[in-house]
Formats: sequence, C-alpha cells, structure tokens
Amino acid sequence: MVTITPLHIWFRLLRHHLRLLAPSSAIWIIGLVAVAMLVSSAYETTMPTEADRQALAISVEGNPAFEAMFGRAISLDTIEGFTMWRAGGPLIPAIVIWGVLVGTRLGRGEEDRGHDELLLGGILSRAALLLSALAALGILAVIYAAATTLGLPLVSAIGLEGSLRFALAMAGGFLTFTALGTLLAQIMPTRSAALRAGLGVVGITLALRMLSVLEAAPDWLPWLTPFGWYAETGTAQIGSNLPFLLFALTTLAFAVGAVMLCRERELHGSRLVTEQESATATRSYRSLWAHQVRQDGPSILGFGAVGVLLSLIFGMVADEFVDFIEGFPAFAEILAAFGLEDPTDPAAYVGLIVTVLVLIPALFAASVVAALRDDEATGRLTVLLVLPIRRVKWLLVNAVVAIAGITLISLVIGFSAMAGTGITGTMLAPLDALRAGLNLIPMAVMFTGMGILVFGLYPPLTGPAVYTVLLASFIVVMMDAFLDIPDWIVSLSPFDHLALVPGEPANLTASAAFLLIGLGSGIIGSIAFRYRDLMMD
Amino acid sequence: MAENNEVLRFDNVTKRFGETIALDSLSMTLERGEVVGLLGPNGAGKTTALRILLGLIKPTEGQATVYGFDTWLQPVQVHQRLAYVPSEFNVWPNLTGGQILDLLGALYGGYDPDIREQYIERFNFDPNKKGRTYSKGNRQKIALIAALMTRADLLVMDEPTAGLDPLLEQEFQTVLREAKSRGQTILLSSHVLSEVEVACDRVAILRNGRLVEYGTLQDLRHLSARTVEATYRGDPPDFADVTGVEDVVFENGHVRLQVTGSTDPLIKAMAKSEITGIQVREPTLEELFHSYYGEEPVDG
Repeated sequence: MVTITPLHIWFRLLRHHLRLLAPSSAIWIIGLVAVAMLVSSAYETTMPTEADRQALAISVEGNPAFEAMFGRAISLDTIEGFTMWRAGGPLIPAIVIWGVLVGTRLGRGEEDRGHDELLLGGILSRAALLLSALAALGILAVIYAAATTLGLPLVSAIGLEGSLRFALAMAGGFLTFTALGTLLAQIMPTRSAALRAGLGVVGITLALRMLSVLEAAPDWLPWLTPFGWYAETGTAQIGSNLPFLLFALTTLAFAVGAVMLCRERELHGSRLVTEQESATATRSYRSLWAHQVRQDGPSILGFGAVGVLLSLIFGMVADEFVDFIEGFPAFAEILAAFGLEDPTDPAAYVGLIVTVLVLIPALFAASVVAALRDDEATGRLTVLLVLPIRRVKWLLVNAVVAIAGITLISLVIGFSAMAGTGITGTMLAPLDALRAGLNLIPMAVMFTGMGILVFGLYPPLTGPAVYTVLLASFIVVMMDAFLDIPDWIVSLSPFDHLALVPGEPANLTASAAFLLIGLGSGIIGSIAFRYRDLMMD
Repeated sequence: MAENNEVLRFDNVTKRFGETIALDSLSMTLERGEVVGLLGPNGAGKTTALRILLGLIKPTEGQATVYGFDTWLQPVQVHQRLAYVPSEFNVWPNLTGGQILDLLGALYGGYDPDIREQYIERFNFDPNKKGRTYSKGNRQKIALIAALMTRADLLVMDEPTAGLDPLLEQEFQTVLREAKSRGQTILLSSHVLSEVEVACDRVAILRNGRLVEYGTLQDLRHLSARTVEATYRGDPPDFADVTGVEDVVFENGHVRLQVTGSTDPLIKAMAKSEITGIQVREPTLEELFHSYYGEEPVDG
C-alpha cells in the first residue's frame, strides 16, 4: 500500500496552485521582463555620452512633476539608477496590481467558486491551503526575479548586482501586495470586494508616493509606502538596503495575518460582517437597475475617491512643474513624446496628468466586466436568467451602469485636477475641467465593450484579457517617451490616441473610434452571449 | 401556445459537449398538475436536461418546449411560467435574505408578500442577515421560498432539499403536496429516492444521457421484479424453468426470489410443495433504481 503523507499532499496542492496561475503569470512575467530589458537596453542609445546622462540626472532628480509620475529618481546618470526609475517607475504599479490580482484569486477566488471545499474535504487544513497559495505566489516572485536578474545583463551594460537589486525591489513590491491581497481576501466578503479593496490600497499608496515628492512633504513620507521603499532602494552606491527588510517584514506580517484570520473565519465568511450590521439593511432592490447600482455603487465610489486623491495631488504640483520646465527648456523634447507641445502651459500639464489618470476609469471598466464572469461562474447569473429577463437586457443594464460609473469617475478626475491646480494658484476654467473629464470616457467605454466581447465569446478569459490588454497598452505608451518602440506598436495602444485635453483640442476622431469600437464590440459580445451556453465553473 | 394539458416537452433532444454526449435523444412530456421525478446517477444528464429546459444551454439537436414556447428561442415567455430551485444557490453576499427575496420576486413580475411571509415562517428562515452569513441550508431556503412565493405554473427543482434538515425536508413534502393540489406542475430532480417515491406521480430514469424508463411508479413496479418470500415444510419447491423467476435463495425452510411479469407460473410451482407462509412485496423505488443501474452506487 502506498502511503501518502500530509507533506506529499501539500506539495500536490502547491503544484495545483502553480498550475492555476501558470497561463496568465507567464504572460505577466514575459511582459514585465521584456519591458525592463527594452528600457535598460535603450540607456546607451538614448544617452550615449556622460554629458547626456548628467543632463538627465540634473533635469529629473528633484523634479516634483516627474517624480510624482514615476517615483523618486536616484542616480539617473548610471544605468542602474535609470533602469530603477524609468523601467521600474511605471512597472512597479503594474507588478503590484498583478500581485493583488493573484493574491485575491488564490486567497479567495477559488473559495468563492466552491473549489476549495473539495480540497478541504481532505486532511489539509485551511491554513495549509493558504500556505500553499502563498508558497506558489512566492515561487512566482522567484521566477520573475531570476528572469529579470539574468535577462537585463544580456541586453544592456547593467551588471548582475544592479540587475539583481532591481529585480529584488520589484519582487518585493509584488510580494508585499500579493500578501496584502491574501489578507484582504480573509477580511472582505468576496474575491471581487477584496480585489477592489486591494486596487484601492494601490491607488492610495501611489497617491502617498506622489505627495512625498512635494517640497512641503516630510522626509519620512516616502518610507510610508512600498512604492516609496522601492524608490529608496536606489542603486548599490546611492541607495538603502532597509527597504528590502521592510518588504520582507511587511510581506511576512500580511501573510501571517492572512493565515491567522483564515483559521478563525468560516468558509465564505467575512471578518467585516456583524449581526448588528446585517440587521440594518432594509432597503429593497426591486429592479435590475437598482440591483446593479447596488452592486457597482461601492466600486464607483472607491475608484472615484482614488481618482479625486490622485488628480488633486497631481494638480497641486502643476506650478512647480511649470517653473521647473521654464528652467530646463531642453526637457521639452522628452515631454513632446508624451504629446506635451508646450509644457509651460498649465492646461497642457493638467491634460497630461488627467490623461494618465484615464487608467482609473479604465480599470473600473475592467473590474466591472470581470465581475460579469464572476456572476456567471458562481451561478448567480443563472438565478437571474431563469426569471423573465432577457440576457441582452441584463448585459445592457450592466453596461449602462458601468458607463455611468465611468462618466462619474472621469468627471471627478477632471474637476479634482482643477481643484488641485487651484489650490496652488493656477486656476483652470470649469469648462476645461469638464472637457478633460469627458475626454476620458470614450476609452474606458471601449474597454467595457471589449470586455463584453470576450465575455460573449469565451467567458473564462474576460478578466485576464481585459486587464492584460489595458495594462500592456498603458505601459507601451509610458515607455515610448524614452524608447524607440516602433510607431505601429505604439499606435495600437489606445492611450497613444488620447488628446491631452484641455492642453490641446480633443481628438474627436479617436474618441469616436473608441466609442465605435466599444459599441461594436459590445453589440457583437451581446449577440454572442445571447446565443452561447451559460458556463458555470 | 399549446392548447392541451401538455406543460413541457422534450422532443428528441440531444446535447453534446465536444465528443461527450450529455443527453441522447431525450423525448418526454409532462402534463398539467403532474409531479415528475427525474432520477439518475451523476453524469446521467439530469442537470443538462434541466438547463436545456431553462433555456440556459442550447440543444445540439431536437427541441424543448414549455407551454408550447421554445426554451432556447423564447426563454422569457418560458420563464414567465416557471420558477427554478437550483441545487446550490450562491447568493449576493452584500444583500440580506429579505432583499434577495424581494429582488427575485420583483424580477419575476410580482408576488404576494403574505405568501412570502408564510413560507419564511414555515421554513424558519431569518431574512435579516446578509447573504454571506447564511449556511448552505439557509441559502437553499431562499431559493425555495423565492420559487414557491411566485406561484409559478411550473416548478423546476434540482435537488431542492440539499442542505435542509430532516424536519424541513418533511415540511418540503407538505409544500409539494400543496403545490400539486393547487394545480402546479413540478419537475423534481432528486437523489432522495424516498422523497420522489412519496411525492411523484411519474418517474423518469436517465442513464448515460438516455431515458431508460418513464412511467408511473405502478407501471415501473409492474415491469420490474417483485420480491417473494415464502416458508415451506419438506422438500423445497422446484423453481427451475419457472417463467419470470430468478435470484432464488433457499435457507432453512425459507425461500426468497424475484419474479417478473405474471405470478401464475410461480404459484403453480409453489402449489406442488407444502407452503406454510408467503409474502409478495412490490419493489421500493430504491430497488427499482438499483435494478436499472445494477451495481452502480446511488449517489447523493
């Protein structure tokens, strides 16, 4: 008789968790490593002389606007510092979003879909299950770090030590938010709620990173968030090793917290629910519209709040940005790559930051379409669709509430940017704020439509496809300012076609194309959904 | 719209998932006011049949209709006449049980709040808790109450008592009888054979996607073997070559056997011996079920 020990079973579970993550993680790791390799390899071609490098360091280090966007810059006259700032600046938010996605998936997603109950029927405890998930996530971090460490020296002059430092700092951010994701998964009632809470934390910590570059910000502020820790790692020469310890301790604390909470929590239960709270909910939702507003409302408020915070902060550094640019006119060339023709115009700056913040309504749109699949996989959709409700109507209600949410979030971003600039003295006209906000809507609507298309054709891919396309398109444009990415690749990204309103006139052709693609995809997706089988997990 | 009493019809319905045939040329009908039990082991095609009936998946071949409406092409018209109880109900975690009932009732097109309250009381359900706090049994109560309070003409139930305690299972039986007496038609897929035996007028048995038997319990019993037990003195009766007799077991003056069809040849064979006692028992549904599936375990 073959004896199978609990340890054997645990390793089988670990393999199972790795298998679950493998397809999407492969795409994420390849994408993250490739972008970092591209940036690192471009260092010597874009800044061939020492003078160029010095100029870059002098121009960017200490510039609040650029540091607000990509984090604190250290040693930009070295390839290590350049890679940390230019590659890691946009990649660190991406890798932590990935961390939250996978952390909440293994921490709660499998449980929500009823898969964990089967696994827990054996001799393994819930803590063992969560430990296996955490181990699998740790292995992902190791694979990512190894690929980055070995990959960068192949294409650039960066040494192994510098490459390893960058990889560990990125992996540290990933692990911290992964562990946070598993912790939130124990606290929140569903994976969807945990994911949204995790994305909210990402937004707030990003805002704190931005605040920390303001002149008035206290010195300790960068040390308050993992984004700050990432920047403080700097290079081996000018940088601190303390962040690595902080990453490790925070990850450990979150992981231990998650394991402790999961042992106390009932399956499908939540730490947030009390009997008292339960008894207060008396309002009835008697229409599909009211129901959908109830489901998406908290998310709209959350994404809106993050949008307000970030656009306020960005707005508040507008004057410093303009003053800085006036002192360094040569920098205008780099900014032109972002489409900023006259960087001394505050309206153009607001256009730039609001355009970057389009990521918020777009992420909201992605979260809404990912929730469509969640409803289908868990069987909640079945309960609705056996009522006299047309499938297309259900989808339409979801889309309309999503678009209303996108509109609200976009407008508050525009007006908050106006308020932010107003605080520091440069008042933007309300009409300009309105235009800036309206300019964001078509692209997020397009992502909603594309999500519905995937949902209609192949529902299991809905979330992964939309999040991946969204973040990849964003990163391509962010990188294009410093890299010679082929134009045709950049032009595939919708972010490339977004006008910097109010700094320049709206690109009505692009906006119309976004809306048409969104509408067309949405219609095709709806028809496909009407005529396909419902697929539960 | 069907003008006769026919409520639902599967007309040569086949469903394939890739190479797998989940349902194979299913044809059956339900009449108004009937309670029909759908039986079969896992993978027999019960859930596929129900999902086709609900318009959630499309038949690869054939057609399913409810009150004359095509379930795939006219799902809304179908859903106006039926209510469904799933085997597992994943509720919205942020809504209370009461809110979920209100929502489902309103989306159905209306319900009587008094009836809702009656069922809440009868099933001993607390509607003031958030969805995420309910146990499986309580989530199942929501599904049951939501379906029953609509007074839909057709109730489609997929293992409706999964997770309910025995007392509530008994209450469920009463509720089924009441629904039947109101003229509601019920299609009940269940693994609880005693439940089906008590409640159902007809039973459909599926195996490997095919309908292997469909009829009243009386019909099925007539077609199936009855158990005969007898005691005798002296030489044991000789059942060799007796038509319809099988599985004969002798033990200390006692014989146990199965007989199919007419009992006349058996009685004539017994008359040749000194029989001191005899008992003929019709098969229970469980025995019938086993006779169709041989050694396959009854899942549940």
